[in-house]
Amino acid sequence: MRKKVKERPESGTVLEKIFRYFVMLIVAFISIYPILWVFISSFKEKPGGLGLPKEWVFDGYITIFTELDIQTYFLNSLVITVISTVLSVTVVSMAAYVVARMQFKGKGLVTLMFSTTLFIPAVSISFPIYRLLGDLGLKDTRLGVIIVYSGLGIAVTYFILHSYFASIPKEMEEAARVDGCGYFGTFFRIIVPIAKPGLSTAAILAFLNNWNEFYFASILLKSPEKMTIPALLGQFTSAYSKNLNGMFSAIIVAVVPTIIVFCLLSETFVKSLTAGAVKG
Amino acid sequence: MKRKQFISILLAGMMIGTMALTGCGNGEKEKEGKSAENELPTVTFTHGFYQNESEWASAAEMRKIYEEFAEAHKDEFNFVIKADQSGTEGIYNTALNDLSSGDFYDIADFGGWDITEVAAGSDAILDLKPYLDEDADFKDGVGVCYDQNLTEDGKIYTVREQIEGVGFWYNQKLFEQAGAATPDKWTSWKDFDAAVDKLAAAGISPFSLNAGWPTNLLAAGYSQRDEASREFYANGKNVESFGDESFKGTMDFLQNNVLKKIDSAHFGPGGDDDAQYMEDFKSGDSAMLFNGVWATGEFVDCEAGIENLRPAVFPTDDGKKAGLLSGGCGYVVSNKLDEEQTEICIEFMKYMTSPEIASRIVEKGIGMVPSKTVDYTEVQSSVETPEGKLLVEACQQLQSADIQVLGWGNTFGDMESEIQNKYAGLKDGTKTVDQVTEELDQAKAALE
Amino acid sequence: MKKRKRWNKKSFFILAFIAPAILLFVLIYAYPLLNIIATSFCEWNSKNFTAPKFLGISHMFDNYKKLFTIDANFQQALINSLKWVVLTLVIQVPFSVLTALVLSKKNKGWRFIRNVFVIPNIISTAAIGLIFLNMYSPSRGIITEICNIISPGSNVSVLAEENMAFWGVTFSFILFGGSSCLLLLTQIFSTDSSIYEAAKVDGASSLQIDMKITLPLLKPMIGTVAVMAANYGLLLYNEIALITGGGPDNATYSLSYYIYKTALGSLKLNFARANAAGVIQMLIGIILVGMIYRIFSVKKGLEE
Repeated sequence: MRKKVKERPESGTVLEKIFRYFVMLIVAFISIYPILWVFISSFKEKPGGLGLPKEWVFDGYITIFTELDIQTYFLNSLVITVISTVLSVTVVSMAAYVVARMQFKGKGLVTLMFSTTLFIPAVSISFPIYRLLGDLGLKDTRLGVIIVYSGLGIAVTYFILHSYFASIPKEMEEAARVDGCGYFGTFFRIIVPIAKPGLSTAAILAFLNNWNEFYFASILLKSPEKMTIPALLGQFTSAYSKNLNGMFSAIIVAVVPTIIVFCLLSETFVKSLTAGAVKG
Repeated sequence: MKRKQFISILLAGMMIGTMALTGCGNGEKEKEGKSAENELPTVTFTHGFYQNESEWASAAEMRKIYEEFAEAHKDEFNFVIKADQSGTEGIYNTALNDLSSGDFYDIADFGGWDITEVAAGSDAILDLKPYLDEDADFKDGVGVCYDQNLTEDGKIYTVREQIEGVGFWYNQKLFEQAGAATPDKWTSWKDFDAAVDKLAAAGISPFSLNAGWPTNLLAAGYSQRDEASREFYANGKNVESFGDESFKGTMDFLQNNVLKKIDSAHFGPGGDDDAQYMEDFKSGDSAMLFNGVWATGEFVDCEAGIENLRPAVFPTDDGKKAGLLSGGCGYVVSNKLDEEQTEICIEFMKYMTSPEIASRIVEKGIGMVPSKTVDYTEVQSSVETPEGKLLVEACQQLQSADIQVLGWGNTFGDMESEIQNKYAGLKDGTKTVDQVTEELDQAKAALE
Repeated sequence: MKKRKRWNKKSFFILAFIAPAILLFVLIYAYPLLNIIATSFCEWNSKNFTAPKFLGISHMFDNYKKLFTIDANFQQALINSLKWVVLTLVIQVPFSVLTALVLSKKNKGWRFIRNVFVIPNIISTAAIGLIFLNMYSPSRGIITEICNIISPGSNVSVLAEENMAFWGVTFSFILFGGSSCLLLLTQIFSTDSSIYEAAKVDGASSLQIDMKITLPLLKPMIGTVAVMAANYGLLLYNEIALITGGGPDNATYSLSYYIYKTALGSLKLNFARANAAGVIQMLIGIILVGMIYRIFSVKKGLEE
């Protein structure tokens, strides 16, 4: 399906190859095993332990798919996460570019400001945000959550993009300037395409964080038709605490679509990765 | 090309954004339209029974009870019922956030999450005492909640239609096998010790516990043994020192007469997830279970045989019977409502604590009620299932116990978790009673 | 004259580009930030929830004093959080770097492994927490079962013993460096490939290329990844809340968990003390970022 010219494995001694596959094997094991364990357990009447189920039970899945409105939750998560990710990456990339490439007073202050946001306890932001959304009339709306999510990931996105923009050679900009590009033109026409790998990685990370955010979702969204996947999982864990089979099924149902979405997204991103590599 | 892509993503984002926006707009319009339609006063009631019937039948029954009230009064007022999808914990968290911006629910059921102190401190909630005092039926309906929720400055901010009722359960067959006196014959904690020893001698584990809930219940039960201990316990919220002789006595009892009588396989780490103690009792492996009256639903079709399982209340050393009845935080009403709305809320609480609803809650196996008006003998005859009969019997025993006190958590507040932290150390002998009480005093000081 | 015009245009551009991000910051973080700092010098709990009260000049550091003198839970949390920061830096970061280097060789299956490695980061920590909780459970978990095979009847209960519980929490997140690995891979692939070609022509082995060329070039990104990882270790919360609840005997408290417990998880609602701890958490965080940037000389790379 995919044909990439650069798909040529690097050579190496046999020993090196063995070592590489050993590392890959370990990575695969630690990444897949937990979720596989849950997957297998979700078919057991008494989840847990080693080995395959003696008798395959589908009760948990049946309840989830017949009684709950999964697709609504899923759609909400998608809409909220995609918009907030686009918004936050756009806004932060502009700021990160300016700070990384230009000299002006207060540069350090901007970086310090964004750095502090990494470490502010969620508990402490919660009240002011709730009040703000109340004042704006955005309680229990998707828009409110989108605004909050756009702001939550500022710091991480900023760090990634900052270091990425900084690694782009200065000559690129100068050449563009000579060609008559204005500041805006330089950014959108020259820098953004070059920085695509960085932008997409930052976007993936922001996407994942927002997709999994639970605390604000549970505080800000109250109507069932607006809730997101993590909030759903939260419900399962309290409602199904006596029904492990159901709980494990719930984990799988919440997680598998996420993995699929990620794989789809990452393929598109990977294309931009190889396409946007810095030349020269 | 690339710029085009970027812009198209942006555009798509905006489009979805506006869609979401207009979606919200519509929702709000609808709401406005509704309230404009009729001029009746409106009260919104929020509760945490969001689970659907297959997950938890009691939740569906509770919702039905609420809806019947709204339906019966639909010509007089709008009673809007809202389920919080994150349960009572979500209600509590939202209430805190609301309070910080000066709001509060009209009326909400907090289901045990105590909002009263902070809400009363923020002058946001209604004192229910005057309403309780002027209506004897209402006061009977809330039962122990009246005294338990009476604050030091003479206010009652919350009442509840259900309470946590706790005695314990025992397996009659195992007691008979071991030749031990059953709890209904006990007259003091000496009898408990004797029974435990006989059970152990017969190779039966007397109970399964963990570093949390079931052990707390037993400790709370033992704390009612005599006048001095009861006094310390009643003052649990304002303990001066855990070095008190009666508390030390309770810890010493836990260490030597309880925890050291069972092996490590019968002692779990505790936490919400640890229900092994329950499994052990249900499978007929242990002879006593420290859990609330609601546990009967779990006994259906268990290996131990539901016909062998009996409820009991705690003995005391002065010939009384003791049970734990914790009302805790239930309905809380805003004090910002107008007179009409307040009346509606009071009406609703009266309805929820009325004899009819109280009997229904017991009959349907939802839980225990504080109401003194329920005729248990009558309910007993109308209930058919064995687990229903057990529940009614357990409720009846508790309701007629000489001593009715709050549970461990309601008594010690934040110190509950600090106390249960020490159980593992007491069990394996790495901590002495003196060490425990000293550490607890330090933890207490740190909380201030 | 011409120069002046250009300057104006430039400052307009800077302003236009930086303003939206500043707006987001102000909207979401600015008030909380000031609020945390201010209320850490106040009395603020369930009794005066809507009206924090300044402690007075002579007592203004009382909350901080209490944290360091009588609050054993905070001290435990501080030590644990610092331990977790160090552990992420010495285990998670090197592991991610190693994996990125290995995958960058594009041996068969590298794409699959790259995607798979991110799975634990995709799954919400809530689910990861549940998974590990169940794996550690003595009655249905796998750890106990494996220990029983090795030493029958041992009935290990990971979460019941203080030391083991700490490691139990640690292993629920420490190896999951998938997104870091992704970042590093991106950076490796964006480096000019002609550098490698030249090195290969010179007969350098792939190990030498990794050590002498790739790693130094990767340094700034490793710095960024280290900041993110250290941040995760410092702010560890979900795993603790779900797996141990801070226990046994408060041995697995983290700063974030302490802050939550003190503010919202207690009847006392001691927001003032929690915010004092929050200020300390922020200070540690900022010092940490500064240190990591200095070590990996990210700054130098940025200001070139």
